[in-house]
Amino acid sequence: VLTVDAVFKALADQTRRQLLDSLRDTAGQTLTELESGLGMTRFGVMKHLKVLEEAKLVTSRKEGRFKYHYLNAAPIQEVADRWIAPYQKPFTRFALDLKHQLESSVPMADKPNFVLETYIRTTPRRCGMHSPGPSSRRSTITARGSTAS
Amino acid sequence: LRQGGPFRYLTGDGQVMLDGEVIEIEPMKKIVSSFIPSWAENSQPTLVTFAIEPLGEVVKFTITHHDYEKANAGIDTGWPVVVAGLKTLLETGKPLNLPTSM
Repeated sequence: VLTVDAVFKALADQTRRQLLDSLRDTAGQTLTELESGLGMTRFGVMKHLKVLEEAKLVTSRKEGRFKYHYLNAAPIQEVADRWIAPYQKPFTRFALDLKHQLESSVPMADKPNFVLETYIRTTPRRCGMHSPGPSSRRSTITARGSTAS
Repeated sequence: LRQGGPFRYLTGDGQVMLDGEVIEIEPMKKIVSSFIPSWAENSQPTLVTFAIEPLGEVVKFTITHHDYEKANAGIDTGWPVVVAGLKTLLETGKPLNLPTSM
């Protein structure tokens, strides 16, 4: 839980996001390199790096006099899995469903503009509206198939 | 026939003459289907409803078509031919052989 708070706090700052982007582009930068890349003071970079390191978003490796910084994207992935994906999926689903519905369904006017009524000496059952299976419906329809002119 | 399933009209040799999807179905009452004619050009899908209602010795058969002109498929002349054929078939058991010019 603490990590999640720390991640959100770390990400809630434009400069820190720039630092992450910079480390994503070029891994293993020193403080001096980050400083010049972002045009910030050494103190500013250090302050922000501390927040990022507390959130485990940045790890570092010391070698002699130098400290090399690396992006650690795992906490972001965890936050994404927990807080983004579950919300994203239903929404994406909804959007896709809506798209499908709008593209496939037929826009319907308020009133039909073609109506034809007739009276047939028969029974409802013989009209074939009781799911008769494709073959008998087909024969009903194609028996007078002269409309395909 | 089921909601969401195909509602196709096939020619004698099995070609899809008219494609559609069952939008709504009430057994023994009505079928609402989309209407996608293969023979028409510049045609948009439209909606057609077939309804039946028993009235004593007869059945009232109603076709309603929404925005039929968008189908661009000769609906206004085509459906009467279809209905005439259906009526003849159901009443006599024989197909109505109309002149091909219709």
